[in-house]
Amino acid sequence: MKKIFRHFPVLLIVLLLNVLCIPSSIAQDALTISGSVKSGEELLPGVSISIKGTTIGTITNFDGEYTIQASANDILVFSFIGFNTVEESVNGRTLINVNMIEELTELSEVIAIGYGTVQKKDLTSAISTVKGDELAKRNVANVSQALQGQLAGVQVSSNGGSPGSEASILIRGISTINNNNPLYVVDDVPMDDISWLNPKDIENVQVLKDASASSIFGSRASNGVIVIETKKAKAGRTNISIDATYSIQDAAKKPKMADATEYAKIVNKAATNSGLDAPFSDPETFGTGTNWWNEVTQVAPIQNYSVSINKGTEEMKIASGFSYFKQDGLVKGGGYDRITMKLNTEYKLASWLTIGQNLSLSKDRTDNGPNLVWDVQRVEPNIPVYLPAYEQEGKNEFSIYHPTLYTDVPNPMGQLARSFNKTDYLRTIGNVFANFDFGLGITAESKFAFYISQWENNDFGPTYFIESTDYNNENWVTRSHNNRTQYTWNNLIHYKKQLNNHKLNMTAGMTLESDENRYLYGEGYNTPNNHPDLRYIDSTEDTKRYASGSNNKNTRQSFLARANYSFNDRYLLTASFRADASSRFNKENRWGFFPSVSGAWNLAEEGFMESVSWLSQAKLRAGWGQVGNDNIDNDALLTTLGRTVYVFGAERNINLGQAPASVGNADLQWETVEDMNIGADLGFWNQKLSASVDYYERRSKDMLLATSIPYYLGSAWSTPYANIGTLTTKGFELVLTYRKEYASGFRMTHSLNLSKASSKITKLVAGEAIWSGNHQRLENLTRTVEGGVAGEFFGMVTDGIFQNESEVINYTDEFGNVLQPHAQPGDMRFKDVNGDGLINADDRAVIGNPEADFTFGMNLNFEYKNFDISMLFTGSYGNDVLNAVKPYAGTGSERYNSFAGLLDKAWDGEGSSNTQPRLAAIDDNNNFIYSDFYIEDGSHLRLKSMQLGYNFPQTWIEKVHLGNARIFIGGENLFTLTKFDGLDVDLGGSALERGIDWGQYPLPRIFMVGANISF
Amino acid sequence: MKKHNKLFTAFAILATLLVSCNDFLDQPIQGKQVLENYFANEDECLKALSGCYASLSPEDWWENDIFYLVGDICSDDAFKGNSLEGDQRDFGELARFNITPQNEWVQYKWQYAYEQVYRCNLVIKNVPEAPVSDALKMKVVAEAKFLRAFAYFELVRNFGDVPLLLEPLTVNDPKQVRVASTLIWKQIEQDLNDASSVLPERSEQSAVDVGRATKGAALAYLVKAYVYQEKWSDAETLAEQVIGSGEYNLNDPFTNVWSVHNANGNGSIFEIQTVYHDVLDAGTALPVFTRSRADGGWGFCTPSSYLDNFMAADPRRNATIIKEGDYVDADYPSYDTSLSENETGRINRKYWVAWNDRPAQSEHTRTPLNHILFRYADLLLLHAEAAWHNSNEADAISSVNKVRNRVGLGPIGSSGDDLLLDIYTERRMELAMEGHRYYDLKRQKGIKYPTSPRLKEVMEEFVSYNMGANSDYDAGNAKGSLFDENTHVLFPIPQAEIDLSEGTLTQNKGY
Repeated sequence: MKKIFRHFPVLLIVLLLNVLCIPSSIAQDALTISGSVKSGEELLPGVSISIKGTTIGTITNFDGEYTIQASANDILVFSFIGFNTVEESVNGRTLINVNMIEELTELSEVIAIGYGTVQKKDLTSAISTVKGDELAKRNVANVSQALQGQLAGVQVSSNGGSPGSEASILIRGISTINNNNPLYVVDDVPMDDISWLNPKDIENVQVLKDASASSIFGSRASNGVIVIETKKAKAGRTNISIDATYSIQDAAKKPKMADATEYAKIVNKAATNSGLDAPFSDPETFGTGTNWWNEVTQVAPIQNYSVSINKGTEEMKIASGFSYFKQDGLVKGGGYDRITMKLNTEYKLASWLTIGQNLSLSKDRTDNGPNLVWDVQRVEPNIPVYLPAYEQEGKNEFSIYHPTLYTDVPNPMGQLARSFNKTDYLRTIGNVFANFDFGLGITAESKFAFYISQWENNDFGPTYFIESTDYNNENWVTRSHNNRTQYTWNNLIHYKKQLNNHKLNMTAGMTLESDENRYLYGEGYNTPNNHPDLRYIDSTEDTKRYASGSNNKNTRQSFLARANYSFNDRYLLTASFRADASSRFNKENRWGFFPSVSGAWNLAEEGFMESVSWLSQAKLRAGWGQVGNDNIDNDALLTTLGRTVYVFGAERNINLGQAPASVGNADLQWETVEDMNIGADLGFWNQKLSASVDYYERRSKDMLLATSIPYYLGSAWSTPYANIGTLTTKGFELVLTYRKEYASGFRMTHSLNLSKASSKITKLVAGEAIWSGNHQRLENLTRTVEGGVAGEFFGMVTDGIFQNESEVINYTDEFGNVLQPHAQPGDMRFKDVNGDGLINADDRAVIGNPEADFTFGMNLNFEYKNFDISMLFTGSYGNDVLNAVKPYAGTGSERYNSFAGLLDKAWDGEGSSNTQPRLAAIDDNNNFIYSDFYIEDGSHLRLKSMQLGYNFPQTWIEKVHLGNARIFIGGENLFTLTKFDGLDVDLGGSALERGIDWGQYPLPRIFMVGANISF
Repeated sequence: MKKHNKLFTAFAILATLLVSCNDFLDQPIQGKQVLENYFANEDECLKALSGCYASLSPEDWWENDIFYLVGDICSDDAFKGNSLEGDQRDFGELARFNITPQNEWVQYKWQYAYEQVYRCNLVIKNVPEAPVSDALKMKVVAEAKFLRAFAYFELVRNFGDVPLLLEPLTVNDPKQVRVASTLIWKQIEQDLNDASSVLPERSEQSAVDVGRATKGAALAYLVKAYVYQEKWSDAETLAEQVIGSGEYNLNDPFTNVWSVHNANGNGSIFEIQTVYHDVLDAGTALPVFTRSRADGGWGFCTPSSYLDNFMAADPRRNATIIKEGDYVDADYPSYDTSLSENETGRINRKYWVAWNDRPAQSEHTRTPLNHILFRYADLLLLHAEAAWHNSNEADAISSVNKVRNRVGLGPIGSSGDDLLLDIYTERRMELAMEGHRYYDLKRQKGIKYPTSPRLKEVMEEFVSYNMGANSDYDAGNAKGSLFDENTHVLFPIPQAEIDLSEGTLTQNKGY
């Protein structure tokens, strides 16, 4: 991590350089103009005045007065943060007084808070927002990826770089050890899938972080709520806007594997070290062999195009749009493309009635290539990809690959050739609504929304023969469908009243939701041959077909109410209540009630603060609320039965039986999350610098978790849900935003967000520990206990390497018993943690913490004239990660390939290494048992995104009748500073398995070029 | 405003209507049967019983079927076999006695045995309450008790003291503790006695019931349970009863005992039933798992040269072992064991299936070779062992000679300790590579070390042969050198299970 801090000065210098760009005003022999600048009756100091098209400028003094020299034809530009810019032509005048109008600042921005809106200044709870424009800058497939690094308290981790993959989002750390996905609410409709949304169609995103904000969404809000407002039809002239981006991706980091010669030497050494014959007589003859990584990867393009059209009058508004996104896989065989279309209309039928509809269509296709990243790091390099030409003769196209001779990894290129798995997704999302205005401040709305998706997967397995462990005698075809239908009906009434200094805003309503999945699967065997035209179930043998299908449905009913009250814009109070019933629970446990209350004090509005002019905003907030979590399977309460197969009879007939397939827990109830948030929003020097701090404590009670149960209960593969305990998360968030504008027209906006969330298990039922993370080599990777962090890495503790025989013999307990009698020099020394004189599983200890001390995001934006540059940095500090590839490639003890350099790195004689054990084919000491050997520092700093844009001058644009034209170049994942050895340090994962690198799909480094045009 | 009021009223009425639709929140589970209303008719009771049998060979989990091979690899008869260290590493660690509580194979055994216990407990508890005939109740419960006894037999001989569950428990029941093995054996005896009093003899079974538990099977397992507990007199008496029933014989030629064409043969007491099916995985993995890698197999559990030398003069050798270059049949005139990947240059003949008998698809889950768990020769030799301990040498000799007679060997006439050794020798020859030897050696007392299990001296001799005189393919392999008589007579309780029970379950000695 020190390394990263070494680079912070570089960033600081970048920042300083900006500050130092102070423009100088050069005198000119021309008119001397003077005047004063006011806002209403108030004089404004610090307003910058510049001569348009030059860098000449000045600033008003403390009395709001200025003097500048300009020629008679010049135009003066008056600009001041928080006010609309004013342009005045000199026209020979020497006295120019200006009255500036406060611009609609971010404080008066309207924030969607779910079932209603509120002005930002009236907020009482912890809500972060990001504008759609910010997200649109990122050339990524979906909204979740675009949110990375943008908001304090919102931690976005990539789930690898495979095309179209969604990132995982954590709001304020983990709130449960169950599913931590936030609830998405798109235009007031709750949903769990937003991958259909084109990021460019988003107006703004609000993240409701604390329960006082999110409790209006009750039973599903425990992981926070992301409220998304899509772009709606607006009144105005016809506006057409076109975006086009083209990008190229390559791997941000490639694995460095041993070449064929080193591989053979490692295998030989491991064998001879164990007293066995060396399998390879002359390793050098292998040369470098096959570089499997290069074989399976490619430089791949991303294309992204969208068009939107909007036109509207007060009576009728229409917006429509179209987009196309296509990403080829960095690893061959993968790919993703998506087409979206939308149509929004709104009609004002009468002064009291508006009706309308929103409709979005999204069609995407994913080529699900095999996950070769894992395999190419294990397969031996000393075989060619293909059989020699003379051996290929007479074989089909899937059988011409060389068998792997020394490992059980199938030939990766062979796997690629057989990859036919494709998923098609068609989603139709929309709503119809009617808004009523009853007068007297009473309005009502009824909205019926639907989400209908059709998911289809097709796969084909050809006949082929590569070797006796990698072949298929009978080809097969599968197809599956899932139809999902989700309906939501919202009925809301709003009441708004202002009386003198009292403002009251009330909302009440009820909602109904239903969600149904219908699944069908079919498979068939033995099509006449592998021809593409015959890869359908119809071509398979009709006695060799099999089908399955399922249905499940759940429903919810809710009542909600909320009231906002404000007095004199200074004292704000919000209270809300939601009652939810879910079909997932028994009648006795069905209803859950979720109240909240929050308040804020606008200190800066107080009379006694008037004299403190440098403080432009000061708001103190506090909130409390309860939310819930019903994230369990529909049949979680019941033990369901599944089909078993056995054989009876002299004729040996199949006999199908029944046995419990998944075990239920009849006593399940809601998980309740209660949280408290205090915060302050501060603005200085008329918002030139603003800061927002929040501190929170959140307690998740009766956490629902699918847990492993003792195997003796007879259902080892079943993980029933249980209310397993309490998790307490404490954290803080800080956002600093700095804006500066120079008379020269140079502007910058920088913001830094910093978050810390620390989750401790405060209670587990019966004090049990939860084990998670089943690795083929290492078993349970994490343990979660009362008083500990969720998902702590728990394994053996190493203490260097035995350098010689006497170190082995002298490593004893207090009675002189040798602790590791099977060890040899070069073997790992393990600590006898519990001091019982034995080295065994009881000596495991906490060996790593997946939770970061803090995570951060930093946005740097510069604008000068027509140019703009933006950079986004993301990172974390102090978290541990587990390298789960290392048990294969980092040990050299089996015939899997190793990381390059392992031959020299491994212990080979006294003093040669104290971290990497000797190479050994037979390892009686279990050197590579799960230990801190696999834990690494996950701190990192990444330049996530960078963009340089140029806006064509207005004068040119007008000539060609364009409204706006911008071109840009940019990049993603341009560099990462970290000590982690794996391919990507940005690891998501579930609550109990955070920070584990399972051979994740590598993150692409992307270079892009694009244009936006509107007219 | 009047119009607005109407609208408002309409809206309010609508909202109220919605609230009253209570059924909206009652959503039944679709497409699955649930346990709480199962056992409602005869068919459901029989299907639940079928599920109890299915645990013997789970559809898609061949590791359970294969665990019986531990009886060979943890002895001097076989090695892990496949010499690729990374391939089924934990299987190899079992063979080397480098066994950790994390060993996945040990975990599978534990999980599936308890799965069977759970399924049997559901049947034993619920079927007596079901609206079905008393005859059916008795039959179903008796078979379930046999299978429960079988599951506990597997548990107690592999793990020693284990939790004893006689009712289906739920996730909210208190954690269990390990129960002394003597009590486990007592329960096994109880269940087998209960079962044998109801179950039909093999000859009384209808053709459609072949493969189900029989009275003979229950009694034979009871014999074995007595032998494990060294209740020699009970064992001998009961074995005589089964022998005397005339239900079983040795009429099948030895070479035909393990054949896909000899399912449930004349000597079959209990075997796992298999069949080939196009879609369902109702076969065994044994042939693919043990066959040579050059012959489309995975090359595991290969016979040692030590065993081959021992059997060299025995007529059963060619039906037990295939060595590199051996003639097997017309398709395999000179067998390729894939020497570079085979620790011993041999494979197990008993599970080898001829080319024409192999299924075209999914061979490793669909080969129709019944897995014989208990056959008549085993019972005869158990009888001989028990009779010897009861000093009935003539009876012991008679049983041994029956076994020898089938393969054309002359009678033995030894006595005293020599006779015991002859019984042991016969047992090894007859049952080699069928998963018995490790379990036999650990229950039998040593001759060189009378207070230790015989396994100790056998492993010593084996290691000294391999590290010394052996000049065969498996020379120099130190397998067995890590054997510790205080530890390796039982397998470890799976670490994951100890972790999940959070301290109520303790580990076996030495792990």
